Amino acid sequence: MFENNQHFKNFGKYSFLLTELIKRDISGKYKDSTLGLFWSFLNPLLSMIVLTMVFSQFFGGSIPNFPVYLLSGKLVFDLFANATTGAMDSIKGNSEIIKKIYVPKYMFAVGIVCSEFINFLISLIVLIAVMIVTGAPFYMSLFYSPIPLFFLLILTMGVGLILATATTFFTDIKYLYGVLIMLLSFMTPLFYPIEMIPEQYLLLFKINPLYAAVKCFRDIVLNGTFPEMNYFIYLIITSFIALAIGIYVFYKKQDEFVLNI
Amino acid sequence: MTIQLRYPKKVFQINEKGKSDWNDLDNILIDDWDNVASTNVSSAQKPAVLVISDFNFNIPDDARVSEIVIEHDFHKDSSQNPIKMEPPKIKLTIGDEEFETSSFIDADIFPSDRSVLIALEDVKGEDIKDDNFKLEFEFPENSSKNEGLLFFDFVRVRLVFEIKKYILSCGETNTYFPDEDNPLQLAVGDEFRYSLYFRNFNGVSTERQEVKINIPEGFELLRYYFKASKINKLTDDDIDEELYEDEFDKDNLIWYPSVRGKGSAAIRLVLKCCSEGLKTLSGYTENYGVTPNFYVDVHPKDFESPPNLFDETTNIWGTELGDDEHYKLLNKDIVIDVKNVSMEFKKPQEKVDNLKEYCIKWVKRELKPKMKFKALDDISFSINKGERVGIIGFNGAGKSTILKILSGVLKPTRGEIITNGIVAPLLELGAGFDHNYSGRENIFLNGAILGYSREFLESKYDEILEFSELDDFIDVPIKNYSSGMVAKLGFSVATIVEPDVLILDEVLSVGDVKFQKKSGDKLKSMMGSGVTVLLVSHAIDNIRELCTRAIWLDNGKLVMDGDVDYVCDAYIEAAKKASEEQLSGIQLG
Repeated sequence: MFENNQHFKNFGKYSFLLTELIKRDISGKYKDSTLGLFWSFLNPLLSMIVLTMVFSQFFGGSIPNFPVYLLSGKLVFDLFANATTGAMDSIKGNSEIIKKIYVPKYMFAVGIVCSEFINFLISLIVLIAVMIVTGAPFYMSLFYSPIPLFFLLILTMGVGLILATATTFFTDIKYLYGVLIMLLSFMTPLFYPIEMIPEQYLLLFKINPLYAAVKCFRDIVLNGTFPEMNYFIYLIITSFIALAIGIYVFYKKQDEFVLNI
Repeated sequence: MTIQLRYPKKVFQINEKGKSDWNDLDNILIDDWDNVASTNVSSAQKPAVLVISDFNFNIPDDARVSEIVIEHDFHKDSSQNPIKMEPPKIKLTIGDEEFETSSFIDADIFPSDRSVLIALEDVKGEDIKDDNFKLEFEFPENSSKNEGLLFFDFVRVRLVFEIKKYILSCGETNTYFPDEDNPLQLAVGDEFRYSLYFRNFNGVSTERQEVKINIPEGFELLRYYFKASKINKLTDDDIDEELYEDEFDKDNLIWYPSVRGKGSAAIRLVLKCCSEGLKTLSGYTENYGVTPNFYVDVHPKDFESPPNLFDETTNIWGTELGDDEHYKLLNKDIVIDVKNVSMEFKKPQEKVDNLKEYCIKWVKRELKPKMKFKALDDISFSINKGERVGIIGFNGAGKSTILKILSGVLKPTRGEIITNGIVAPLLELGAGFDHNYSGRENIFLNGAILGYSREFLESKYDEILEFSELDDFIDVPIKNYSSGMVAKLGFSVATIVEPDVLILDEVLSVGDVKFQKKSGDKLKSMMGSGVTVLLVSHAIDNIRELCTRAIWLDNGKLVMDGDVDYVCDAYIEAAKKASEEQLSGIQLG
């Protein structure tokens, strides 16, 4: 219990660092660009337009309001992909600091996840705008939306910490993960309906916690209901398992980081 | 030693049957050659015993009487048929005690001074008052067959006694005392210690004594100490409790020694030489004397003083320890405690830098296990608050590793490090500077990395800006800065804290010449204010200048830890044997 106190104290001391890191990560995301933060709107919007143009021909018929379906899934997935990739690079990317000054190292991973989450919140405006334009109904259930997003954040944080630890020791994971993320993006029904998946592979898709996150979010936004319980509970469980593993391996291995970067 | 000569006021004879009576006894009280007492002694007759008393000695009650000399004269008449009289027995009575001796030489016809000495012990002034001090002269019988006169001229008593109850002395712990021929040789600016001891000798004075200390112009009194009082044998009934305490009137240089039942009271002055010349110091009491002159020859400032033989540092008093720098440090809190710290790095024996090679080697089982390299091997030391410690050693000795461990960057493989207070490692300036950020934004980013809070940085922002001399450039992205400007900014942020422990890798000097001086001054002022400093430097001169203690590491082991000059000397000695590779970049000074 005392040790926890110590950690909280340390977190308090470096809380300003966290805000500075988030600020740096956000302002660094579109650095040197003329439009800057505006890309947080533009990026999902443009990719949605492209994907809608391409895939609505294939799946449009079976999915009502394809743009919102696509965007709600893609935003959630992009948050996960960007944040975990960022966290993976965070230790190596800040090696100059870590090698020279004592800083709680998890701050770098937490910082990038938080900044990606803020970025995600900004791009939600695009989702709202698209919903207005396409005339999608606004359900009262939208008030539930922070709940699955919170667990998505937990999941992302956990996976991010695991990746940050692993990449420090095996640089190859960085490249492997790029492929993995691509695979994962296809394994998550972003631009196609889950009904398309043949029965025998369905389980394979359903164990993907990202699908649970996307499903929960879509239930709220598109169906106007509280997330389906079994998916929601699965999201909660996997997110906490991921965070627990993430904190454990990170904490165990963080003292060796400096020797490997 | 004092001598007092006294004549009696009272003389009488013990008239016994068969003994001859004395006439004109009062003449004995007068010391001249004309008036004498006399008695007519028949053959085989004894003169009456003379009892002489009331000498009215005027000595203090507690003075110690060591000798009594009884001077007297007896002689016989110069008739043709004189008597024959052997010397008398002299009996001295002091109170209950009796001392017997006898005079010498038979009575002659000429007067002569005779004196006999009686040595005494444990006799004090109060014991010999009035009737308590009595002399008896008992002559033997006239051994001639003639009858004749025996004269007795006078009795004087010479009293030898000690009235000193105390001795005032100076520098009693030394065999060497700086006299006129061999004065203490010091330079202007030197300090020395001058001690006076006031020791009781016999008895106790219950009055306050004044010791005037004579310090000539040209000395500045820095500090003074009293010797801690031992258990005082005196009780409250004897004297006022106030008198137990020493007092010193600094303005008039008067010391009031504590009154003690036993032992000596002492005062020690720490003096600083301010002007040149041969000077003398001394102490003086009205009742108990003057100390010998203590000669000090003060030379100009650059004079190299020979070892101060008189220095009483071997005899440090408990009261002094409070001001002793080393002693104080010993009793301060430990700010850094390094316990059995070892640091191991794994170093591959061969470089395998791609996966293909790795796989081939793995298949062929040619992979050699990684070699363990001990950067630090069971190092232990602790640093007290306010100590300035330099870490020295050849290249690869583990200096930087220990600093990284202390600043928290590295975690030791084994062992433990405990640090108390705010530790400011100035190992890296401007860590984490973002080149797209303006100077202002980087102050906050860099400050956050160093663990400062937003409130702290906001309150210190103006100070940082002023020190960095960046003025209007502060809002320009630092990618447009010169390297000197970046360094200035980094230095200004890093040194804004008031740390308890300052960890430095080399004395940082950044920027242009002007800023180098400014930054150097800033560091020195940070070090000056009682901050604990840990400095790693290749320049031994820097270590000697800035540190009080040095720790010498070699191959990850602690070789020596102690006084900076001692360790540095030993290190330089060892460096003569070291290889060129070990020494590259090291300035031995």
